[in-house]
This record gives sequence, C-alpha cells and structure tokens, in this order.
Amino acid sequence: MHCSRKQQETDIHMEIRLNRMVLILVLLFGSQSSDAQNILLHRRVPSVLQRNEEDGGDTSTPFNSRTFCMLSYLPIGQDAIFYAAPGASLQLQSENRVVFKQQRPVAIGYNSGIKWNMFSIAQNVQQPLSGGVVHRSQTLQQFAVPLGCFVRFKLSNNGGRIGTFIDLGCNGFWNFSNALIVSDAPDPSSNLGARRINSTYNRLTYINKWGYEMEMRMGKGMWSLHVLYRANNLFKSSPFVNGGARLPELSRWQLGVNLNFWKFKKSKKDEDEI
Amino acid sequence: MRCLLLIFSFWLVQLVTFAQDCWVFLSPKLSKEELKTVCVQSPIGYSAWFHAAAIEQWDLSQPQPWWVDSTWCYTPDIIAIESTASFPIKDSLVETTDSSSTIYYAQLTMMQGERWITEGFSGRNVVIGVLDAGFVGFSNDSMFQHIIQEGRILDQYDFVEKDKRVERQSTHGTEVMACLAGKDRVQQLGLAVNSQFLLARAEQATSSRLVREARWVEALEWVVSKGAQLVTSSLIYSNQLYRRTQMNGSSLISSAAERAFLEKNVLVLNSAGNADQGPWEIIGAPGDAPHVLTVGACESNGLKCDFSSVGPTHDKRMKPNVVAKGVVFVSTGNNLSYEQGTSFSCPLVTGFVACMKEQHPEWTAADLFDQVQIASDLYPYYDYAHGYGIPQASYFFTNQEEEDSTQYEYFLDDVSEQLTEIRVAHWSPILADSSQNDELFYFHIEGHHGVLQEYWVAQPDEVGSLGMYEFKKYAPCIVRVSNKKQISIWKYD
Repeated sequence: MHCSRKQQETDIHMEIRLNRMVLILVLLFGSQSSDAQNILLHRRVPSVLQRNEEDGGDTSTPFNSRTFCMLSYLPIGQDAIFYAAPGASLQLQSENRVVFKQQRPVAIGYNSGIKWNMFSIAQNVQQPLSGGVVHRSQTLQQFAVPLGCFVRFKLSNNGGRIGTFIDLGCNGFWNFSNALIVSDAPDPSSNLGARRINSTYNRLTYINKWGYEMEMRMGKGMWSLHVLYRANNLFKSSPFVNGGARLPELSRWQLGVNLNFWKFKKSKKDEDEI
Repeated sequence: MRCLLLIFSFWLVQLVTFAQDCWVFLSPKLSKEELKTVCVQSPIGYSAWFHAAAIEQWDLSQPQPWWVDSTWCYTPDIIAIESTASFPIKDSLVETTDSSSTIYYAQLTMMQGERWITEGFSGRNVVIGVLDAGFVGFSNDSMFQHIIQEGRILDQYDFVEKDKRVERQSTHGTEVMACLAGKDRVQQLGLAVNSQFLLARAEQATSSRLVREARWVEALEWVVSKGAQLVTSSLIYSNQLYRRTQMNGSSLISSAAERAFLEKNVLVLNSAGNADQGPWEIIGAPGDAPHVLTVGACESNGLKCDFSSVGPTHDKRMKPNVVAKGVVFVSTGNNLSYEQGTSFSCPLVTGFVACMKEQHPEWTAADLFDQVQIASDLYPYYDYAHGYGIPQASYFFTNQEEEDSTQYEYFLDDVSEQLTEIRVAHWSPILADSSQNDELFYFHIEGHHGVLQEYWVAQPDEVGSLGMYEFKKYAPCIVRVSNKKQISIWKYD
C-alpha cells in the first residue's frame, strides 16, 4: 500500500513534468509560428540618430583623444660587442594621443603615457657589463614616462576621422626606474639548492634619467607603424662601470606597431527616445 | 639653424591654427570685379547668390578687411560619385506596353510612366539643368540623337576646365541623361524626352572640399540663370565632405539648393546616395535641404534597395521624399547596360516631374514639390527608407474622389498587452497563396515628438499575421499600417 501510494505520487510528478515539457514545446513552437511572417525591412531610428551623435561627437569636438598600445624594437646600429639581442629586446608603451582639430590637413597633437623598455644584453666575456663572466642573461629594464608633441599630416581628406596620416613628433621622457637583472645558473655541485639566481641592481649610476627621441608614425585609422630614433645617449659615464668610460650605445632605432585598444565613448541615455 | 626651426614652427602653428579654406562673404559695397583689386589671394570660386568667394587658406588670425562681411569655414572634403555596377540584362525585367512596340522598362512602368507617354506628355517646354561629373559619349549615343538633332541642348559648360566641353572624365552624366531622356526607335528609358537641357560638369574629383563646393554652386547658379525650371543632380556630398551632424541642410550647397527653390522658383532634385551599406548610412548634401526633392532607390517590388541611403536628416526631417527604381537600364555609348544606384532614380523622377510641369505649366516649384509627393503610392504614409513611395502618374489623370481604397482592414490585438500582434483582418489564405502573396505591408511607430521610432516592411504569414511587436514601450505613440491602398492608424496613450 505504502509502496503503491509512493508509485502514484511518482506518476503524478512524472505527469506534471510531462505537461510542463509539452507546455514548453507548445510555447516554443507557438512563438515560432507567430514569427513566421517575413520581415523585409526593419529599422530603429534612434540608432541612426545615435550614430549621428557618435560620429559628430568624435569629430566636432576640438580634440580627439585615443589610447594606443605600442610594441617595438629593431636593434640596428649597435656596438659589435655590447649590444641588445635581437628578438629578446622590446619596448611596450601605452600612450594617450590628443589631436587638435584633426579634420584639418595639418593638425597638431600631444601624447603622454608610460613605457617599458627591455634590452637583453648579449653575453660575452668582453662586454663591459659582464665583469668577465658569461651570465645566463643580463636584462636592462626601464620604466619611463614620455611626453611629446607631433604634427599630423593627413593624407586623406576624410574629415574628422583619423584616416591615413603621417605624424612627425618628438618625445621627452623620464626614466624613473632603471634596473639591471642578471640571471645565472649556479654550479650544480654547489649547495645553494637553486637552479637559477636572479640578481637585481637598482639605481644604476650609468643610465641617463632624462632622454628625448624623434618619432615618425604612418598609419591608417586605428593602427600605425612607427619609427623611433633616440636622440640622446642612453648611458652616461660612471666611475663604477667600464673604467669610468661611457658604455657604448645600444640601438637608437626602434620600429614598431601601434594599435588603438580603447576609445572614449560618450554615454547616451534614453536611446529609444528621440 | 635654431632660428630656422623656430620660424618653421611658428609658420606651422599659424598654418594649423588660423588658416582655413573659407567661403568669404563679401560686403555689398564690393563688387565681384573689385574683389581682384583688394584681395591678394585669388578666389577659386564665386557664388553670385551669396556674394561669396571661395578662398583657400584664408587667414582668420588677422582682423578681417572692410570688404569681408563674414566667413564660413567648415571641415573636410569630398564628393562621392555614385558607384555603379553592371549586371547581366534579365529578360524578365523588360516590359512592353505600347501598341507602337516601344519598350518601356520597369523603371518607367513602376511610376506608371507609360501613362504620361500615352497621354502625350514628355516634358515639352520644360528646361532641365543636369549637374554631373561628365558626359562622355553623349553626342554619339543613339539614345540622345532626338535631343541633339532638335537642338534641345540649350547650353553646356564645364566648370572644372572652364570651357564648353562637357564630354570628358566620366560617363556618369550620360547614364543619368539616359534615365532622364534616353530614347531610340526601340525603347524609351526616361520620360523627359522632349525637354530642353542645360548640361553642367560640376565635379572635380581630386580637389579639395572648397573647390568641389564652389563648382557645384557655380553650376547650379549657371543653370538657373540660363532658365532651368528643374535641376537634377546625382552628385552626393557625404562622408568625406561633412559630418553626419551637419546633415541638417546647413551646408553651403544645401543652402544654395534651398535658395534656388525659395527665391528662384526652381525645384532641385538630388539622389539620396548609396551609403546605407557603409558607415555613412544617411542621406548626403544637398539632399538634406528641406525643399530639395531627395530620391531614393527601390527594387522592382517597391522595397528600398539595400544601398539606398536613409533618413531622417540630423534635425529629424523626413528624407528621402520619394523613391524610384534603382536598378535600371542605362545607355553608355550605344550599349545598354543594367546598373544600380540612386543616381539613376533621381533622373527618372525628374522626367516624371517634367511631365507634371508640362501638364500644369502654372505650377510653381513648391506645387511640384508637394504634388509629386502626394502622387506617390504610400502617401500620406511615409517612412525614412521610402519617403512617400513611388510617384504614380495615374494620380494626375483620375478623379481622386472616385477612388475606392477600402480593400483591407487591419487590427492590433489586445493593446493592453506588452506584445501586440498586427493582423490583417479578413485575410484569405487563398489570396495569400496567389495574387496577393507579394503584397508588402508598411508599418511604423511615431513617437510623441512626431518622429518615427521604428519602421518595418513585412509580408503576412498564412493567417494574416504581420508579427508580434512591442509597441507599448513607446506609448504615447501612433502606429500606422499601410499596404499602399489603405492606412490604419492607432493611438497608444
């Protein structure tokens, strides 16, 4: 008796579940049949007008502000012994560019941001930072704050949009953090118990804190290629390094790519109301 | 070296900050001839209507001389000529409707153009100004021999090269002329075959914004001064010339077109543009001017071509005004080709308006502007893709009171619900399966500001439903449904 009542309850639950499933299926197919008409054209007018505002907002404002990400490195024109290893050295930079009256054939702008340089120093016994030892790696890392201005020559007459352009500019920067990270693999027979030893040297006395560079960008819309030329010396003479003589220069040229990854958008309320 | 750098920088800043391409509006005390004596820079164009000179790199940093009333500078550049694509000719699109076995294609029959022809109207005694990019092949084309032999090209001028030869640079104008007045022994492509024409080459493709504006305005002023009653232009000034926010009729070319209408009694017809598939999307100048008859493009079934630019204008006025077939036969140097673009819809409607003008010579530009919209198949319904629809010639030959338009009823299902169904009452599945199957239903929601919020074109399903829609979120609003025969209106409060 007990067992059969339980069976009955189970049957009722099953039936309810089945009914629900049927209901869901009916609703599903019912909703599909109500959408069976053929919509040939549908347009939301607020979205058209919204685009007017977005487009106008981008171009009618006195300036255009965008944030770019830059990745670059091309180690050419370096010393034969003391040089940054190609492929292992790079620069990452994030900067915000403001262009005043971008719609003109010639416009001016400024950029500011933060950049990270990594020079992987090629290892050999003769190079002046090695101290006569071939390390596993030696990396010179810099964090800098660049600030610059540029002139933009627009090659396409397309109004307030970015279009095709060539920028010529110069940047000044402050290297607020410089570090030399030396990595070594200790002798396996030693009792240090480590596979790698990293030593970080901060406050390097042989690095110039201030610098400036020339820049040329050529691009279209949200991306561009750039060439940087560091106009001042990266190193200065220090009594502690290279016998007091200034270190040979690392590559002054950098070639890279810029990509816009953020655009400031004006928020729009009441999208449906015009 | 440093001094040179400083001087260069100063010049650059001056250049960037103060010098601009400008329309310089001249003092009434200064004549156009005197301008040469007082102005060092030579103007690249001059507008008599605005008494303004187009001057490049005008220095705004200095106090303006006595002969300058005001300056008008605005941004960027370019005219987009309608791009065209060729298609293989489809026999199914050819319609023969005349006892004299002249072929009229759907581009005319959609406007009931054969009615104008059979009633004997062909734009006689109407002078039409045609502004375009070039008329290469015009004089040798058999489609235009009736015009040339009868001396109905009153004048022509190239505003780019400053001479009287317009057959250069582009065949676009020839194709436009084919849709306006093309005819040979076998076929007729346009309606204004007996009109008189003024041809102006007004497009300088590789020049700056100011030059292009100047050429168009000069050409417009020229055709009007030569006696044009209608002006057709298939040049669209859009994405690289202006911003979307400027599409409110305020540009100089739109102002000039408006001035032609208001002060010179000349109706300017302009194509809407082919930008709907691109980022620009909306109607360009001078189609944004309030009294320019802006013509969009539609398919054979009356539905807007996917490329035809849409309205409204930035100040939320209805555009385009009407539509005409946008995939058409044109003639390019004795070859018939099948091409598309609002460039060709515009001259088709211009031919239609020329016939109206012949029928009612007393009508002003304002009358023509109103009547062609009233004669369109969707009127008084409208939306921002089709305007008032396709002009219909029968409107001008029938007594409107006799027309019986009650053929369908529509109802909205249970207006209290969030989702509301539009249903065609008395919908017959038999009819739906046969002759009425292709019938389009147009419906839209108009917000309480009098501006459309959304619009649709749909075909009903087998039970007559046009679908479920969320109208209530727009309340208070008006919902209109039209099938070109009847309009039903519901108000949501």
